[in-house]
Amino acid sequence: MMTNDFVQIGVVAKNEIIKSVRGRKFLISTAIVFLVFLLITGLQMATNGWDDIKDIGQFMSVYFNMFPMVITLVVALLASVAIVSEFEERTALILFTRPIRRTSIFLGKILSCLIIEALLILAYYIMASIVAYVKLGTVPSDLLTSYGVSILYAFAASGIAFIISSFFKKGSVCTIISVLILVIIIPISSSMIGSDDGENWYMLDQSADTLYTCVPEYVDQYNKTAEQFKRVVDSAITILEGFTDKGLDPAKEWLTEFIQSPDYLALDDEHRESILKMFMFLNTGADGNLKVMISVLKFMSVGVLPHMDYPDVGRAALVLLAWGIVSYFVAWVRFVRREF
Amino acid sequence: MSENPIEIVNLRKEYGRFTAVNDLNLTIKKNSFTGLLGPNGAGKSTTLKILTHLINATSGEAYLNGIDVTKDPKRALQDVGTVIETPEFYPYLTPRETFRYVGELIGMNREQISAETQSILEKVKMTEWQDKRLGTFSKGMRQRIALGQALLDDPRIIILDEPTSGLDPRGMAEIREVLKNLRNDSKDLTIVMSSHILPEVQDLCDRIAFINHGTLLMDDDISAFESTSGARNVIAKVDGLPTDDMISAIDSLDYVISAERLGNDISINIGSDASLRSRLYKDLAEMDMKVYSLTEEDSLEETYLNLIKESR
Repeated sequence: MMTNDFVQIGVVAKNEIIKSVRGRKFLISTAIVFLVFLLITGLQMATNGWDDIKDIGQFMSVYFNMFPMVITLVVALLASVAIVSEFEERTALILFTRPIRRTSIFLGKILSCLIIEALLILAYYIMASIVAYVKLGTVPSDLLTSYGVSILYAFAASGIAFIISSFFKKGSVCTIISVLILVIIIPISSSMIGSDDGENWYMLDQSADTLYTCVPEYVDQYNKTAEQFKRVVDSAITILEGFTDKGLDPAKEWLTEFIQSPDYLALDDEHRESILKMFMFLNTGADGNLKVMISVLKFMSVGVLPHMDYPDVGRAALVLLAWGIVSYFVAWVRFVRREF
Repeated sequence: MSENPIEIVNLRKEYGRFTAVNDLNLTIKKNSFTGLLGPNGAGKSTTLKILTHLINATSGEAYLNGIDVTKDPKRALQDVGTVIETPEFYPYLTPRETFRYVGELIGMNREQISAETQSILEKVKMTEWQDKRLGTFSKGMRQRIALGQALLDDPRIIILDEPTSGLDPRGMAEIREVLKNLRNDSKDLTIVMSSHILPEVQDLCDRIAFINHGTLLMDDDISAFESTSGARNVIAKVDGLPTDDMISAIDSLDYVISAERLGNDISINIGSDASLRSRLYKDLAEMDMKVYSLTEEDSLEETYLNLIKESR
């Protein structure tokens, strides 16, 4: 009697979990999750940051701004070797020669990766929730939405790691390429697309950020900080603009006339020298540099902390789901055809 | 399809311009232990990998128990155990966990798995290692576990690709012993084994299929292979160097076709009648030749080399 495909998927997933949990990469992933939490908490306690955690906006900013990166690293470690290891370590010779569809093996591996990732992410959320309870007296319900987004991001990022794992021959290469793509290439592409007012909401990293931007208080607090920053930068622009040629022309004209007048000649040497110095400064003033400085500040005013709208969490979830499904499909097409 | 457990029909595998398996046709008889012979690159491993669904055929069919593995691998591999090359195991699992994994995959229940695990581990002499993680095992031990997992659920077909490759002499002997017991104890079991080691094939197999350039050159009982070369050469070792007198004395025996010096030994051609060996031994003793060893030249090796030469 042939074994049911679903039963086989479960068997593969179960054994993949046992295998992963006993492996070194799981240990490293767990260490990353716990160390990041301890490091953040330790640093906050060592500085004034701990006392500043007074609302959920600040709490999310402290504990979850870096969390997409943590998920990325965990995914790169665990999912990037899921397929390649069968070929590299020759275990495929046992597993693939059995009466089981490659698709069942593939689905079992996805399932086991997601279960482990979901548990590690959950561990972080539980620790963060304890902090929230201690500092804020409550566990914000938004954390549940955030957890959902985190799981979807892990699902999508694992899909990309699966593609890499199904094409390359070495596990270590797969891990490095996964990190490069998820940590460097996708965010850079995303900011390049977004830099010229382009739409980049469909990019993986943008949707991943929803895991902390989904909390409205975070967005409010961010916008408050951004407005303060913008005000400081804008006032610096106003001050500097006063020193440009345009701003100084009336003063230069007046001084030119004054120097040529008898009133100037009537002054003592010290005053004459000071006025001459001011005249020279105004004429040789760093107008070119000032203009560059002003344009840099104007860029900072608009670009460094742009205004953030409340994210569309549903759309972000769909984007992550789409990235995941497309990636797994590509990886599956390659995996079922891959020869030993 | 016929009742033959393995039936390969016009099987072809191309890698770019290179044809690894060239329209191969091969039938493996029920309850036989067939040795798949051929030089390196002959297409043996490729054929076995197609049979075990590790690679896809370019064209052709390969039936296991009447089901084409190229079309429905899940059903075709239902009653098949395999050891391809030297497989590796998940190093963090123990033999017992590995057997449970494989057992669950092929639909065995807990009781069956645990009962069979015990008996198989005894068969492959790995009982005392059942709860140690495989990552610490030697190659020979891992190969015995590989053979063990292939025996789960008592398959009717076992496919082995160079099962003793890379093992030390003791490891080889242990695997051979397990295979020999398997052959002797099982009533309904067909085994196909590729190998480079001719004495191993002679020791274990009752049939041989010879492949070169991806094509079948000969498929017959092992005795047919051994007699293909016709004459049997017997090598006699004597105390001291063989003299011309000795050689002509042997040559003059009526059943001896020819006798000649072969280094420090004498090579004696006595034709294809195996019964003449004992007569020769008796005659040499009577002639007081001080013979201390009589061995037969390996006729399988001769056939093997001739077949390769002819197929070039």
